[in-house]
Amino acid sequence: MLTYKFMQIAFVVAILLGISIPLVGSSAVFKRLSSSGDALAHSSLAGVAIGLAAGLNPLLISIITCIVSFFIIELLRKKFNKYSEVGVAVVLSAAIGIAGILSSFTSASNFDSYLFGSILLISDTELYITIGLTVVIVLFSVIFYPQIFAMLYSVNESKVSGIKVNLLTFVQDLLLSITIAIGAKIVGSLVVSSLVVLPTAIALQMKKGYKFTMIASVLFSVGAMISGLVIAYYANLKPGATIVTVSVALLLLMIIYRGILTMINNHKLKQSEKIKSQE
Amino acid sequence: MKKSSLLITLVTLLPLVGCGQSDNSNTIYTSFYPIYDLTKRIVGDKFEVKNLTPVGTEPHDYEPKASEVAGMSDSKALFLNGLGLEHWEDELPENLSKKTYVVTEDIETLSIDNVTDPHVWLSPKNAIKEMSNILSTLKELDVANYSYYEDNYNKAVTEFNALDAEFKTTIDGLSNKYLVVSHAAFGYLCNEYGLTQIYVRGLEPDDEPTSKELEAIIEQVNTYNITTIFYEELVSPEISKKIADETGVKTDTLNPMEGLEQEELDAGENYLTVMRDNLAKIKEACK
Repeated sequence: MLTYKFMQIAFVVAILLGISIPLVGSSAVFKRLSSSGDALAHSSLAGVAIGLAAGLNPLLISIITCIVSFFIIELLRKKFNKYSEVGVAVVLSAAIGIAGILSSFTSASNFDSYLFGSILLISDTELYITIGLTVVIVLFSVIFYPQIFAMLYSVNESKVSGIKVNLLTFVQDLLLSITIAIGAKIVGSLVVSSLVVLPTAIALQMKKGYKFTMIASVLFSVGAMISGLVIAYYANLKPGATIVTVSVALLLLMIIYRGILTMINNHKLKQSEKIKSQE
Repeated sequence: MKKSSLLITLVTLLPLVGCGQSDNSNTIYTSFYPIYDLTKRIVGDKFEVKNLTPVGTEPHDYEPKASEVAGMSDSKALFLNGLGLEHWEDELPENLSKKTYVVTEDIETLSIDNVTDPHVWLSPKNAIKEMSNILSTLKELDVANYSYYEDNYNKAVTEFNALDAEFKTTIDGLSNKYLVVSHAAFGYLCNEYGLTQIYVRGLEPDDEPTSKELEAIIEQVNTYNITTIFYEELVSPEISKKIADETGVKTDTLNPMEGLEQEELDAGENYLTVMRDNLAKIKEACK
C-alpha cells in the first residue's frame, strides 16, 4: 500500500489534518455553528471563482473570502440571536450563488481542481502548507488551552479575569477559516466540512470533560482518516467519500454504544431498586 | 438541480420565443468546437454558424442559457454530436427536435466501460463522415446552393485525407504504441492508427480517482516505458502531474478539441492545425 509516494503523502496529510481540523472545528461546534464548516467550504469556492475571474491568486482570495464569510456568520448569529444558524444558511446561499455565476467566467479545469481536491493528489507545496498550518494550530491550542477552556466555561468570568476574549475568539475564527480554505483545496470541501464537526460530535458522545473531548476528537478524526484511506485502498473506493462515511459510521456506533450503556445502567438501577424494596 | 433550473428557464422563456430582436433564420447552431469547424468548412458563407459551448468550457460541463435556447428556436438548424455528449439534448423544447441533426450518424462507435464513447471527431476519417452527413443535411436545408456545398466538401475531404495519411505514416514509424492521456477521449484516434490509450479518467473528465486506479496507471507507465503523460487544457492537470511526479516522466498537453481557447482561435487554429500539433506531440512522446 505504501509503495508509492502519493500514498505516503496521503497518510501524512491524513494525520496532520486529522489533528488540526477538529482542534479548530470544535470551537464551531461549541458555538452551535456546526454547519459553518460547509458554508465556509463553499465560500472558499466562491473565493476561488473570484480569484480566477479577477486573475488573482485563488488560494489567497479563498482564504480571504473564508475569513470574511465567517465574520458575516458571526455577525448574523448575533443579529438573529436565537436562530444562530440563519447566518450559516445565508452565507452558504450567497457563496453557492457567487461561485456559480463566476465559474462560468473562468476555465472549468482550474475550478474543478479546487472543487474536487483529493488527498491522493497533494503537491509538495500543499504538503508544506499543511505541515505549517498544523504546527500553528497545535501550538495555539496547547499554549492557550487554559484561556480557551475558561472562555468556553464562562465568557464573562474570563473577561473579568483578564483574558482577551475578543482577541482569542478572533484568532480561533481566523484559524478555522484558514484551515477550511486550505483544506478545501487540498482534500476537497466534503472532507473538510465533515471533519470540522464529526470528530467532535463523536467525542461529545463520551460525555467527558473538555480536555478529554478535545483529545478524543483528534484521535477519532485521525482514526477515521487513516481507516478511511485504508478501506478505500483495499475496496477500491474514492478516499474522500470513504473517510466521511467512516466518520459517520463511527458516530453511529458511538451513539448505539451509548444507548446500550444507558440501557444496562437503567437495568442495574431497577434491579438494585428491586433488591432494596424486597429488603 | 441542473435539470430543474433549465426547465424553469425554459418555461419562463417560452412566451418570449419568436420575439428575439436578432433574426436567426439564417443561422446554424453547433453544439461545440469540432462540429463548428466541420460545419463551417462546408457551409462557407451561405449560413452564419454559431458555436454554443463558450471558449474555454468543457462541453461535458456546458448547459445552454435561456437566450441560447431562444436563439436555437429561431434558427435554421442545430447540429449536435449526439452519443450522449450533449446531456442537455433531451431537455430542449419539442419544436427544436425537428431542426436538430446529429452529425455522427452511421459512424461506427466504440465503447469504454460499456458506455458509448462520444469523441468520434478525433479520427480524421470520422471527421470526413461527419462532413458527409453535414452535406446531406444541407442538401435538405438549401438545395439551391448544393453544388457550392459539394465543392467545399470535396476540398475539405482532400485536406482531411492528407491529414489521415500523415497520421498513418508517422504513427506506423513509432516504436512505442502507448499513449497516456488524462481522459479517455482518444479512443477513435488510437483505434484508427494502432495505438493504445491508457487513461487516467474515464469518459467524464472530472472525478476523484481511487488509490488503485492511480497505482495501476503508475505501473503501466513504468511497464510500457512511457515518456510523457498527456493532459488537456480544459481538464484539471493535477492527476497527470501527480503520476508524472511519481514516475519521473514529462507532462505535455494533447488537445481533444472539445473547445479551443481564445488565443488559439485568434491565432487561426482549426481542426487541421490542432490535429497536426497533436501528431507532432505524439511523435515526440512515442519515438
